[in-house]
Amino acid sequence: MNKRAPIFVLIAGAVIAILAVMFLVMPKRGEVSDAQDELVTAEQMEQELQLKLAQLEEARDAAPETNKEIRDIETLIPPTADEPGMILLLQSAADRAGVDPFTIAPALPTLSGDGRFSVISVSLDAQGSYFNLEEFLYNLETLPRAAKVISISVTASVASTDTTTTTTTTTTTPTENELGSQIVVEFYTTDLDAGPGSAPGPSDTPGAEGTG
Amino acid sequence: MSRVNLLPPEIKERAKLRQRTALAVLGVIAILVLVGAFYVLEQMNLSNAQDELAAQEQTNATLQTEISSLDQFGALETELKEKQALEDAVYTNELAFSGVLMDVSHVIPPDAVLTSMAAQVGASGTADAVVETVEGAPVGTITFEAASNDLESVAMWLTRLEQVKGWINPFSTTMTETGPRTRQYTFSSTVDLSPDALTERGRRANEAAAG
Repeated sequence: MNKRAPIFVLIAGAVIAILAVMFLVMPKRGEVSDAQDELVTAEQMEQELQLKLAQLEEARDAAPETNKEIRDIETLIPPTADEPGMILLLQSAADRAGVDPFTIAPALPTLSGDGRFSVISVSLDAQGSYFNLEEFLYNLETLPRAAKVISISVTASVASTDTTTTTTTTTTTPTENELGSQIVVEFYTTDLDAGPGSAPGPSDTPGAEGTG
Repeated sequence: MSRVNLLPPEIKERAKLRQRTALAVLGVIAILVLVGAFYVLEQMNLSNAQDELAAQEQTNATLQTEISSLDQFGALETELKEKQALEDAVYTNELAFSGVLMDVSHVIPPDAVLTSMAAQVGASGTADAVVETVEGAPVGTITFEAASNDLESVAMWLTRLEQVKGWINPFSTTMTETGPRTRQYTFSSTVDLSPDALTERGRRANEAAAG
């Protein structure tokens, strides 16, 4: 027997052991590490999912209120221009304030700067006393539909009590203490393509969707 | 009594060598067993981790299913946020003009008469409105044409204008006596409107626009 046989055995054993560690143990250890990493990721995902679930459950519980808020905002900013409704609101606000709106001139709807809604700018010429005008403005500011006064110009009217009636119109010139006012008020709709020449009905956009 | 070994030294040497070789083989086997034990241990760890991972994935899948069944409520929340953003955009720079008229009636001096008034704020969704919100600059202006019995009333008018919340920079550009020594004046003045003059929802909308 070769005198170096034990050394050869040890070297061969060491080589086999190293190879076994390199090609069996280490890859297995890598697999364990990968699996543990995946487990950690899955656990983190569970936390995220739990959080999302909690938020959704909260949203489910709050759904009736959320629906109501959406309906309220849709009342403020309707999905169509609804000019008849707008005219009736203006008339009602004027009547309650004792103001005579003798000119109502709604401009064609225009798209807002950010393209999320259409703006209907209405120019009003109205007459009434100072405090009638103040009440009229208050009524405009508290309409169920969003209306924002952009400008107002108030001037003293010519004192007169003349009333002219024709077959189609009645024109009343202002009496003393009455003021003339020009008011520009904006109404809004989520219909991005409103007005003459557009497709009727609300726009098919997220902002214009119904609550279902 | 002394003992005599009659074995030849070569045989003794061979026996030692066989013993060393056997020890080396045993050592190698021990190392390989150790390596094998490590391998088995890692295999068990892997199996455990995979089992836990499978269980975790099952839990996540269950959660995902529950989430999917509640997705409609998430969409509802998203819709509400969009609508609220829309509402904010609409009410940007909203000023209560009824309050403006009320304030004017309170601050006008007793011997002054307002002949005309015009007020204006930035319109919704315009570039101007956004810039004003960002810079905190005046959001609107009111101009007045009025008449008074003396210049003290004009001064009092300007002083009182500034006392209204959100009304800033009152300034009178012309004061003209109606005739020689009449001491009666017509004057025009302006006052700027700061964001403080806006309604609460107008301010909230501006804050939302400023991000």
